[in-house]
Amino acid sequence: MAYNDKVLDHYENPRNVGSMDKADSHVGTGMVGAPACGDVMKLQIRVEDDGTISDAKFKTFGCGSAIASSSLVTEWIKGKSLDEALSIKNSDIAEELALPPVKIHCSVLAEDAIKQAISDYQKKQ
Amino acid sequence: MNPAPQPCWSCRGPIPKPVPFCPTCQTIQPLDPNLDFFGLFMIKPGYQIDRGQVESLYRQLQQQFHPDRFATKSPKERRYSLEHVTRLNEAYRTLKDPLTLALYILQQGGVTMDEGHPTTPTDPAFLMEAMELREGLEELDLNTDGASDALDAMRKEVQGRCKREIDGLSALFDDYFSNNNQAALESAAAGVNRLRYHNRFLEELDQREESLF
Repeated sequence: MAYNDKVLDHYENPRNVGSMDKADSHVGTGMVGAPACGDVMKLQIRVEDDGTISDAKFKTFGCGSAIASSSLVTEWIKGKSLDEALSIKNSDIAEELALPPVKIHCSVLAEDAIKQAISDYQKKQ
Repeated sequence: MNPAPQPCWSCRGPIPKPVPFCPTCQTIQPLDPNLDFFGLFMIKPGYQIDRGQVESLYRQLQQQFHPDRFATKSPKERRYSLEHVTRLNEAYRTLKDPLTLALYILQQGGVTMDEGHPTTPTDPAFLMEAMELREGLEELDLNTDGASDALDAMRKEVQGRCKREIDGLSALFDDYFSNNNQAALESAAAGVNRLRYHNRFLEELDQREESLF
């Protein structure tokens, strides 16, 4: 399958790969997986006291589209408020990366990862 | 449910219940669409199946239906033999692997695995472990002397986890088949998902190992 240029770019030069301390009260961690393909995605955010996301990191074991989707959202959510980050839809991700229908689930995974990371952070407050 | 028995298409002799060959003239019959994979192999439906027995039955049945044996027969017989063999191969592939067999039992039991939606809730603690295993594999430096041993240790560890999942599934599927317990089937779905992550890890491990040689 031919990947779109943006997907390839994120796949070859993924942004914000890494991990944060999940025990830190400023850090929210989202863990999601796709059982059908065995992909796992971890997305972490660092939230400042004023409620803005100052940093985001991800680690994804999966296909190029899953890596690109998570890489893209870390770029998008940095500097945003939690509400703004929550408003990101999987269709925005799929559109930006021009994902084919069979890869839409990768963008769903990334959207769910953001939601889980924010909910994890909120539980800690 | 059961349609009225059809006579043999060739000799019009009676066929009281679907059989692959006519009892009167021995001509091959069309594949019975209601036959599941267990019925095809004439074994008791279940998860703990004797794989050695399946293997030898497969060889026997494959010989019986092999298209080579029908090469000089009518087009209809050739088509029926192909139908039988195709279905037989599919059944064999499904029965011999614990993951595909588990998925098949779930599907037959009406439990859909929700392929389209990735976030069938999997326990976050389990996902964390799966992530840590993948990270451990990724971070392993293949250029060190102990790399091969480290890969073997990881494989053993995850194979052990697979074994435990399969044991758990065996108990759940036993409960389902013996007591018709639909709830057991629902619980099995979670185990099947965990097994898929483990299988994916082992595939990844094999790929990394290949790059060693």
